[in-house]
Parts: sequence; structure tokens; C-alpha cells
Amino acid sequence: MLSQQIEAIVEKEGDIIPLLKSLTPTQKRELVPFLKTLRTKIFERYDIHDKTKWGVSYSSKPVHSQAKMDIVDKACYVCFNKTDTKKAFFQVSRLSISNDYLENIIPWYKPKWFGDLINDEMPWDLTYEKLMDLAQKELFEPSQALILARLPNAIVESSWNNNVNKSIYKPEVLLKHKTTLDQHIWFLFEEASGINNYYNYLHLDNYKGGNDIWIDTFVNLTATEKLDRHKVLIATLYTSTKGFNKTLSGWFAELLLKLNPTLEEVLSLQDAFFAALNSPHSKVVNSVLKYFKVAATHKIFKHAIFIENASILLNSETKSVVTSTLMILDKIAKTHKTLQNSVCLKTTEALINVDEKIQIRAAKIIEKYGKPKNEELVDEISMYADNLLHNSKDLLKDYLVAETEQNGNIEEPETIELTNVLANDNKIKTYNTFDELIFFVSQAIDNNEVYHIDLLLSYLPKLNVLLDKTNVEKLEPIFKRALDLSLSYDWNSQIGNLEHEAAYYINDFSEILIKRFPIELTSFKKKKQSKIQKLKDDKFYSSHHKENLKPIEQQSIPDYIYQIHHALLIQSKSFIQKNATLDLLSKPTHAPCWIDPTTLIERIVAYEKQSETIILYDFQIAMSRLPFNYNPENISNQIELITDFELRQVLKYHFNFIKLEDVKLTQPELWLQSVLIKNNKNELDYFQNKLSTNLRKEIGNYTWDCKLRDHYYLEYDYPSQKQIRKKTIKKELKLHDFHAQKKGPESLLDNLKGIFKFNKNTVKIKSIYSFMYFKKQKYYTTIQPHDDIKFLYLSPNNPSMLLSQVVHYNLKESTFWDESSKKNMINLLKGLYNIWNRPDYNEGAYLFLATGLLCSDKISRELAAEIWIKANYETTLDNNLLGSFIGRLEAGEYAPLKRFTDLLTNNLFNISKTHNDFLFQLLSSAVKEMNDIPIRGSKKLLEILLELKHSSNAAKLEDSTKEKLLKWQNVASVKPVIKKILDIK
Amino acid sequence: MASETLNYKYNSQSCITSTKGKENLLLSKFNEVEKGNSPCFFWGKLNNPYELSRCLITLSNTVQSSFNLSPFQLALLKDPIVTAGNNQIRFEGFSHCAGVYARVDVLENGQDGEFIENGTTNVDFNTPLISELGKIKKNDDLVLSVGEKEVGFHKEGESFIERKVPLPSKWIKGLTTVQHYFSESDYALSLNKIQALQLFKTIPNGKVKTDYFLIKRGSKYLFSPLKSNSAVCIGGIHRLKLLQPLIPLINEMKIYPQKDMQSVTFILCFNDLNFVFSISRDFWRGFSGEGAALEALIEDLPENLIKAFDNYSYTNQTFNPTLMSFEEHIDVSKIDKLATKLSAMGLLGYDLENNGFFYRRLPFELDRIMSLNPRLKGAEKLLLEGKVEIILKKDNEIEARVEGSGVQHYVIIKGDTQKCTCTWFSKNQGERGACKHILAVKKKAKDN
Repeated sequence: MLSQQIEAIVEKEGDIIPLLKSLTPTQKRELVPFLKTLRTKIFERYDIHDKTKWGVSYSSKPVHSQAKMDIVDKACYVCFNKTDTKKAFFQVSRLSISNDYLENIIPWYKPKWFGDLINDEMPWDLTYEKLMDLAQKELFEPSQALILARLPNAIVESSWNNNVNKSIYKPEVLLKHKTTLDQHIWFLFEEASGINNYYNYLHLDNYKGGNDIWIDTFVNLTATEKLDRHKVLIATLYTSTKGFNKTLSGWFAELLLKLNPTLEEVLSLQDAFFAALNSPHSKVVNSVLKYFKVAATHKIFKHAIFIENASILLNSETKSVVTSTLMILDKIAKTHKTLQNSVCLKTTEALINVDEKIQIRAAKIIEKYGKPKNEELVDEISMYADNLLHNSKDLLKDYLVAETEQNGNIEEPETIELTNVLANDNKIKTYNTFDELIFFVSQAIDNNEVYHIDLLLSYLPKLNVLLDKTNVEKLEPIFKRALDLSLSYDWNSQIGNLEHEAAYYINDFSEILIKRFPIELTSFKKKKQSKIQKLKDDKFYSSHHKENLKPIEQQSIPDYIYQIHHALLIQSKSFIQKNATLDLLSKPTHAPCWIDPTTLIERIVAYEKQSETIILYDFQIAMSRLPFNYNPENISNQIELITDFELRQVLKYHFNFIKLEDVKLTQPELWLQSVLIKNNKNELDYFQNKLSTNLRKEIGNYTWDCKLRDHYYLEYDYPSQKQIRKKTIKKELKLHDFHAQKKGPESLLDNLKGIFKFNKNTVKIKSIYSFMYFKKQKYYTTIQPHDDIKFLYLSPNNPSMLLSQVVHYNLKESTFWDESSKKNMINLLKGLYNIWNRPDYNEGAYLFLATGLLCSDKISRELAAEIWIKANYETTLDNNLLGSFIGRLEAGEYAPLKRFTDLLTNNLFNISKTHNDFLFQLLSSAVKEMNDIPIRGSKKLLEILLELKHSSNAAKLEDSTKEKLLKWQNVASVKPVIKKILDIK
Repeated sequence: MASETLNYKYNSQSCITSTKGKENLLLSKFNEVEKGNSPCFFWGKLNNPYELSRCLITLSNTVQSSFNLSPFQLALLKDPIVTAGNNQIRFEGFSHCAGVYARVDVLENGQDGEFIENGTTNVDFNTPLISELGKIKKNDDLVLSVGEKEVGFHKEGESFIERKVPLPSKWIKGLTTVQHYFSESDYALSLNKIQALQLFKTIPNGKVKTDYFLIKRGSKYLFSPLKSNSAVCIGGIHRLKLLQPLIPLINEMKIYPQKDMQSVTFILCFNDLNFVFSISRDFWRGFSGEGAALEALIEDLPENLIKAFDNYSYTNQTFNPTLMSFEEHIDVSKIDKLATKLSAMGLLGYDLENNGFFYRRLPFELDRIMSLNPRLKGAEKLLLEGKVEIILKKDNEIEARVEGSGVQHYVIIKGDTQKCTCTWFSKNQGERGACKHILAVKKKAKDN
């Protein structure tokens, strides 16, 4: 029996070749099942558990000797078909090309799949030389992919000698086989390979050229005429059309530069050079343009084609490409009078660029070669008129006949949506019927709208009273979702922590209903229990599920600031327990957070009628959500409907019917919001003095500065084996008296006391602001994105308090530590955009906006720019204050000035004439506050200031700004611009 | 589904050959549902070779791009499809992630040749071909043939090029959804070349997760991250970078947002040549996963109607139900929203500029198209398992209970509003098509 013979040979570790040689194809086939079992047996491994000083280490060792395994491998190799082989061996091709197999098996048995699997698997130890040997012996035909993978390594030979790797540069390998230079080397130009990554990090005795080893090889091959230089040049140029990536394309561009085509060659290969101009990679384009600059003046240069192709070049994002193209166009116009017109027409396309140097270069070409009578050219230039900077306008003045008209004609922005406070467009739909309420509650934990949590607080009690035995089961899906969400640890990017809180609340609601409708909700109850049981069985979850299934009153919260919503949720739950259906006072009537005053008074009256206690925080939020300076008709009569005297007085004061000095402040916490919202300095002082309290935190005004600050940290020093204190310097913004205000949080129980039960003797004012901390752990904020904006909308008329917290904790430096701080920034800016409606916000809001314009996140900068644009459109922004803050921040080099100047040119400049005036005001206020020595990037800032001064007749520099500019004049680089600014009358 | 592969069999490789100063662009074709006998659809001169070749390169870049897959999955190139007929040629394709749709329309005056046969087919796009396209210049003479005109050029029936690719099921689903979205998109604004260039310069770098909005500031258009209700909303804005190389060549750019901003379409207009480019709501949401066309599919169409369609060869002509009804003796007037249904089945395409459907039969088997939608399948499964219970049915009002995973969902359909208590509906509020529960209730109500 053959199988026994094989087993015997394996056992004795004898020579199996003679036996394998003698097998017929049928015998081989029949042996396959036996060999598969044998292979499993011989390749068996056993586990080893070693105890080490770090614990137990697990490893395994083969049961049988390597020699036995080799014998089985050989038998399998000879008998298995392709599929079996692929399954059995990790990389059978490595065996195929091993010397053992090549000498002992392949001469008498070469499997059908021999070449296929080598091409498929590309064994790493198959060098180019070896594969060529095999190919020469006609053992297999190497695929193009295999050649591409191996050829780049061919020119360096590596060998191990006494455990040292020795590599030598051996380009002569390429000459060994004729096909190498005839065919294979050209593959490198056709498809992507690793040729650009091929650098020898090992020491090469006979090559000192660094990473350019292949480039040098090509240069030598062409120099010695082993390769046709012409052909190499064409192939190199056409690599640009093969879709290679940036680095590989760049490598070929480098090769082109090293081959350094002569003028004759450039001219004779123009088609290929033109094809390369379409490359998406600027290095390739730049290399081509380098040669075209020389060729452009030559007669046989295809000038017309270059002009045709120039559109894409002139619109390139790479400055050097645009500049080179303009230089070439200039040369063409110089040498070809007939083409001057088309050069000028094409050159206009460069006027779209906001870079002054490029604009001027383009304008000069047009000025030099164009004819102002040429209508086509005039039309073309006029299309760019809005985009022209002062100096280019000056150069092109003959073409801009209607310049003065157009200048004044910057269109007003069309798509700015005015801040809706109480409009029909942003009125929030109310829900009344059972169906409406159930489908609203279904989506309340999805964060589909920022105010859904606010609505849920009022709608869940309303839904509660509509439930009966017939309809309660319709709530099952939402109960299930709420349960799943509260027990889930999965992160959902669409919601914040408040949605989780809402889910806990809905859980509580389901518990209340299960008690009320035990039969109707049996199915849900069972499912809930089985889910909980499953979690209990899984010990990992046990503490977690217990925590998350607690009633809302006992739920923990991530940070102080969540207390406010927490209290509201508890209030809403109490309504359910009492079957009350009152709206919370703070429920917004208009998106995103506003409340119609009439509605608020109606709500207060309803509370009084039902003798329902008004919760202080609910009242404070509601007051802050009243639109500022909006007095509806008949409001004074309405106020009279309120029974409580002090509440009535507060509202009268809020709507300007009485003065603060004329009232008795029995419960200051009721007055606080109105005093803050009105933001009248005298009143604020009076309020603080009267109550001998300090409202700095509530107002959000701090003394601050931005400068270089020393920071110390510990670093381990290896030589001394000690921790060493090291110093680093940070450019840091600091709010100085920030911590002086720190107050401990009050207990939740206190917060739930009704407003009328408050101790009247204290001067400490209870308010939602006591909880407003935008705390930050070392590397992350505890405020989840999506919640941030809801906190901002708790007091939309006094955002400075929260925003100064954000500045203090998140914006000490202009870069962000973590993704969520960045998201917080974006959300808060978006939120602020929606509510910004008055110029007299406190400094906290302005400082936040200033950091927004300078921070490292582009989206945030663009959003801050949008706030600036809108607020100036509605004239609700103090540009002097904002400008001075930017100046003070930049005095401490809070952020690179280039960030800001880029934002100015791309987003803020030329919005409208009025905007330009405001921008001038902003920048001159900024300059005034900056250091006496201009920082890097100031020149660009001054150029923009100059441009603005040109465009606006009204713009006048303040004396203090002038003084600063005079000081700056000592620095040569900015001197000319300053002179121009000061020279304009 | 994932393991299923489609076998493209091309008679030869697409290529460009140059003879006597003329560039000949041969596009090799393959159609899974081979209809006609002619091996060639179109043969003739193209009038704007430079712009067209740039458009085709961009189409190829689109087809090769992916915005939510790893580079590994990208390795398999998908081929675009070509529709020729009614004096127009259209090349269309999807990005790998099915979130970007691109179509090159060669309009009537953009070509000068003969339409030997009408129809739609897959065409081979290979790297050397794209490389050759990159070399085409403005005044080159470019002759296109879709399929081979010279039958003798290759041995009949023998296939030379064979490529196996995973079945582009996403494509097929996406292609049907896109047509549907097109029909719901309206013209919003038109930008000249300068405005378009300025606009495209404001695309932020890198992969962008926030939505951007197209707004006007001063005389400039720009993309801004600020939500604005009246502005066109663009999710995954970095996908627009595919268009960047074409913008300096355009005459005009038109923008068509879908009514619920579920997609935005940019039409780049050249001389007698349009490049239609449509992106889905977000880069991680392909068109294929959207349920816009689902409702159109729940009603079965008469089989003879579909057969009649198969025999139709008015490719690229405006869809005319009356004419078809007359010629094929089928009463189509009773079928409501017929065009939408047919486009959802891959039988019609939509032309935004002309605001109408045109005949375009996807070169895939009908069964494939029908078998692809999971939500539709889900709805059918619900019905099959008897999990749908209609509680109330009055005119224009249906109330139903549908068994979901562990709970009973509540569905109401009143006139145009339809609501469900399931997670999908709660999250999307119907913006991404109906959930399977609503679909099942609708189908049941119809069948009854």
C-alpha cells in the first residue's frame, strides 16, 4: 500500500523522491485524502504554558520534526491539485522557487499551477534576477504585476554576512537580460510601482547618491545609450496621464528634471509636454512650465495651444503655477504681436485670484499688450471688476470705464436670513391630539430639533391625560426605544446627554403607566424584565443597568450644568404624577428658544389659577427667552392679570413700565434675569449695591490678557535617572479673576423649593447661573456636543456668562485639544448666530466671537465670520469692541495672523460697501491694540486696511491707530504700505 | 448578494487609435440583456473633443472614487454605461460608494454621426484609454464608436476581454433612485464661469463632516457651514472636488436641489455638451440606501407593460405614455405615477434640463433590479408573515398595527401624511422614504 509506504518514509525521515517519481496521475489523485489526514497529523502542535515573572506566557511547538513535515509537504506538492494546494500551504510558491524543489522536483514534475501561483502570490524572496532565471529556463512566464513589484529592487543586491546585511548597488543586473531594457523597464512608466519608495536605507559601499538611485540609473542608462533618451523622455512625460498618485508623479517629475531635456527636445516633444500640463499634481505642471518658459520665445513653440490650455493653469491653486503661466503668456505676447489679443483675453482669467501680486502681474500684461478700445477685452475685464484690488484697478483704469459706478455697486448680501425672534416662520407647531402627541414623543429622543427636549417637558404630561386602556399600548415602541437608549453604552453622534436624560424620564413614565395599566402593558413589562434579567446574568452590566434604571430623581448627571434640565425634568414628572397638564413656563413658542411674552403671562396666570408652584429656574429661563425690547400691545393690561405682586412688578419693570429704583427687591432672584437682560449699567450697579452682591460671573465680564506664559512639566532624564522640571512657553489667553467667583453647587433639594418659600434675608442670589460651568477635564469636556447649544439657549439674552466659561476652559489657546471641544465650538457658534440680535452683549460674548475668528478650526472661523456679516447687516455689532479684542489677542500672538488675514480676504472683504466700512473700523481698532513691533503677517493686514481705505471715503483712522502705525513705520517691510495708508486723504 | 458577481464580456478593449490625423475612440460594449443584433450603437465624429475627453476623465474619476470605503475595496473598477439614441449619447456612472452620480450628455449638435442602433450598454473604461483621453487636444478630430462597426475586426462570438466585478447592485439601486430625485429637483440658480470658479475655491480642505450651504455674499457665491433654510444644502462637500478640473472650461453651471435637499445636482454646460453631477445627502449615505423610489415599487405593474417596454427602442426620446399606450394596446392611463414607477424599475431616465423622463433601459436583468431593495423586501416579508393588521380604513385614512421586533408599531396614513412609531421613521421623519411598516400597510391597503 502506497499510504503505508509513505508513512514509513515519514517515520524514518527517508527519501521520498523516488516514490513520488513513480506515482501515476491516478495514484496521486487517490492519495489525496490520505495525505490530507497525514498532513494534519504531522503538522500538529502542542501548547506550552510557561510561568514567567510577568505571568503565564502561552506558546506552541510542533509535535513532529521539521524533516518529517518537509517530506509530507513534498508529497502534497506532487499530489494536490491547485485548490487543495492553496488551502494546505500558506505560500506554496515559496516552495516552488526554493532551490530544493527546483533541483529535486521541478525537473521531473512541474505542476500546472506552478507559474500561476507564483504570479498570484508574489513570494517576497523571489528576486528579479531569480525570476528572470526561471523565465529563461521557461519554467514560467512572469506577469507584469510581478515584474513591477520586483524590478525596483533589482539594482541593489543584499546579502547577510556574519549577521550583517551588506548591500551593493548593481545596475548591471539590468543589462543581463535583453527583455529587461526592451520591455520590463517600460512597465514602470505604465503602471504604479514602488519605484519612488525605493530608497536604500542601508549603507551602500559603492553608491553615495541618497534616494535618487533609480533616477541616477535612468540618467546613466540614457547617457550610455543603453536606453533611448527620446523614448524615456516621452514615457516620463506621459506618466502624468496614468493617474499616478502625488508622490509617484512627483518622482517622475524629478526624473524629468534630472534628464534635463534640451530646448530642441522640448520643442520636438511638445505634444507630450502639453499632455503633462493636465496632471492634477502641481509638481509635474511646474516642471513642464519650467521648460516652457525657455521654449516660449521660440518660433516653433505651439503658442496657440498653450493659450488654449492656460485656463486650467491660471485657475490652479498653486501660486507658482499661475505665476509661471503668466510669465509664459507675457513672453508669447512679446514675441507674437498677432497673439497679443488672445493672450490678454486669457490673462483676464488670472484676475479672479485674490493674491495681489498675481493680480498685478496679470494687470500689467493686459496694460502692456491690450487695447482699451477692444470691447471684448473690456467686457471680459469688467466681469472681474468686483474682484479687483486697488492697485490692479489702477493699472486697468482704461478698461474700467464705469469704474466709479461699479465700485459703489457691491451688491447687498441676498441670502442673509434676518434673525427671527417672533415671526410666523419660526413659530413652533403645537400638538394637541393623541396622534400628534404620540408621534412627537416618538422622536423626542432623536434630537431632530434643538427645542424638542423643551417641548417634551410639556407634552408628556399632556399625553398622559389622554391615555386609556385602548390606546396605551401604542406607546410600547417608544418605551422600548427609551429603555434601549438608557441601557446602551453605544455612542451616537446625533444626540447628546440630554437625550439620555429624556430617555430616563420616559422610562419613569412607562413605570407609572405599567402600574396604571398593568394588563394592557403586560407584553412590554415582560420584555423589560427579560432584558433586565439578561443584563443581570451578564455581570459586566450589572452595576450599569441598576444605575440607569433608577428614577430620574436619583439619576446622576455628568456635570453641574446638567442640573438645570434635571430640575425641569423632575418638575415635568411631578405634573404627570398629579395629572396636571400645564406648560412649563420656559417652553419656547418660537424656534429656536424664544417665548412670546403674551404666552408667558398666560402661563403664569394659569399657574396661579391652579395654585401650581412656579419653579424658580423655569421662571428665570422663561424670562431670558423673552425677546429683548419687544413690547406687544396691551401687555400692561395683561400683566395686571397676574395676582402675585412681586411677579407683576418684575414684568412691569421688564417691559419698562416702572423703574428699578422705585421697587422693593424682596426676592432678587426674580429680578435677576430682567436686570441682566436689560444690561443697563446704572441699573446693574444699583442692583449690585442694593444687595451688596457681585454679579461678575452672571454678567461674564472679566479682566483678561493674552501673552506668553511659562509652564512647567516633569520629564524623565535618563542620564541622571530623575524627573526634571522643565519649562515651556505658551501663548495663552487668561481670564484673571475667573476663579474668585467660584461657588459650590447647591443641593438639588434646594432648587426644587418653590420661589415663594425662599429665605428673604440672604443676598446670595439663587439662579441658573450657579450651575453654568463649562467644565473641562484635562483632555475632554464633560459637555457633550448637542447639549452645548441647549445650554446656550437657556439664557439667549445673556450668553456672555456661558461663553466666557467656554473661553476660559476651551480657548486658552487657539488650538483644540480634542474633537468634542471643537464640536462644542462649532455648535455654540451656530447657536450664537441664530440668537445674535443686539450690539450690547457683554464682553464674554465678544471675546468668544474674537476667539472664533482666530481659532484653528476653519469651520469655526467661517461661522464666526458669518455672525460678523449678519450682525453688521443688522447693525447689531460693536466693531470697535470686537476689533480691540482681536488686537489684544494678537498682541499676545494668540493665533498666526495669516489665519485671520486669509479669513478677511476670503470671507469678510467686499461683502458690501457698508460691510467694508465696518471692516475698516474693526481692523483699525485691532491695530490700535497690537504690539509696538508688528508681528509676522502684519503686512498683509495693513494691505487689507489700505484696500479698505481706498474703497471707502468715510474711513478715517483714529489718532491712536495712527500713532501705532507711526511706530510700526520703523520696520522696513511694512513701511511702504503704512506710508500709503497715511497718505490717503 | 455581496458574493454575486457580474461578468462583463467585452469583445475587445476600448482604445483610441490614431489614423490619418484622426483619433478614433472605440468603446467596447457589453449588455447583460442583449437586445439588438448590431454590434455598434453609434459611429461618428464628436464636436468638442477636448471638453468631452475632460468630462470622460472626470466621469472615470468619479466611477473610481469612493467616499466611504477603504482603498482595498476600490481596486475593482466599475464600468460606466452608455445610452445612445435620439441623436444623443449619454455616459453615466456612480462612485464606488454610490453617493455620487455623474453623467456626460452629448447633445444633438455635439456629435455628427450615425446612430446605428438605439440602446444602453456597459462600456469598457480602462487605464490606457483614460491615459489616451488625457492627450486629446482642442482641435483634434475625434471619432467615437460605441461597439465595433467593423464586424470583421474580431471573430464573431468570441470574447477577448472578460472582467469579473462584484455585482454593482448599489449602482442599480442608486441609478433608479437618482432618476426619482431628479424628477423632484427644481432649478435653483445658474452661475457663470467666474462665479463657479470663486465658489469652488471655497470648498474646505480634507474630508468634511459638516453640512455646507451655498450662499451669496456680496457679488460672490460661496459655501458656508452655516445652516440657512433658503440655501442649497450640500453634505460631504469634499466630493465636489471631483469637478474642480472641469470648472475652468465651462460656459455655465446650473444647480438643481431636490425638494427636500436629499440630493443636489450640478450641471456643467459646455458647447453642446453637459456634465451632470449629483451628490447624495451625505457622503456616508449612498443613493442606493435611500427609499425615495420605494413607494413606486409596491404596486405591481402588468407584465405585458413591462414586456412592451423591453421591446421599446425609442432610447433617449421623451417618455410618452399615451403613445406607448396606443402602440402597445395597453391602458396605461389607470396607473398612477407611471413614469416614477418605470424609472424606479430602471426603465426610464430623467433629464433635468428638459424636465422630463426619457427612455433608457438599464443593461441589467429586470429581476436583479427588483430584487435589490431591502426595505421593500422587508415589507413583503411582513405581509407574508401576516404581521400587518389594519385597524381602521376610511376614505383617505388608514390606521394599522404592524408587528416589529418585540413591539407593535402604530402606523397612520392620512392623505399625504404617513407616520410610524418605529426608529427609522422617528429619526428621519419620512425624509428618506417610508419605513417598511408604512410600505407594508400601503401595499396591504392597495391589495385589499
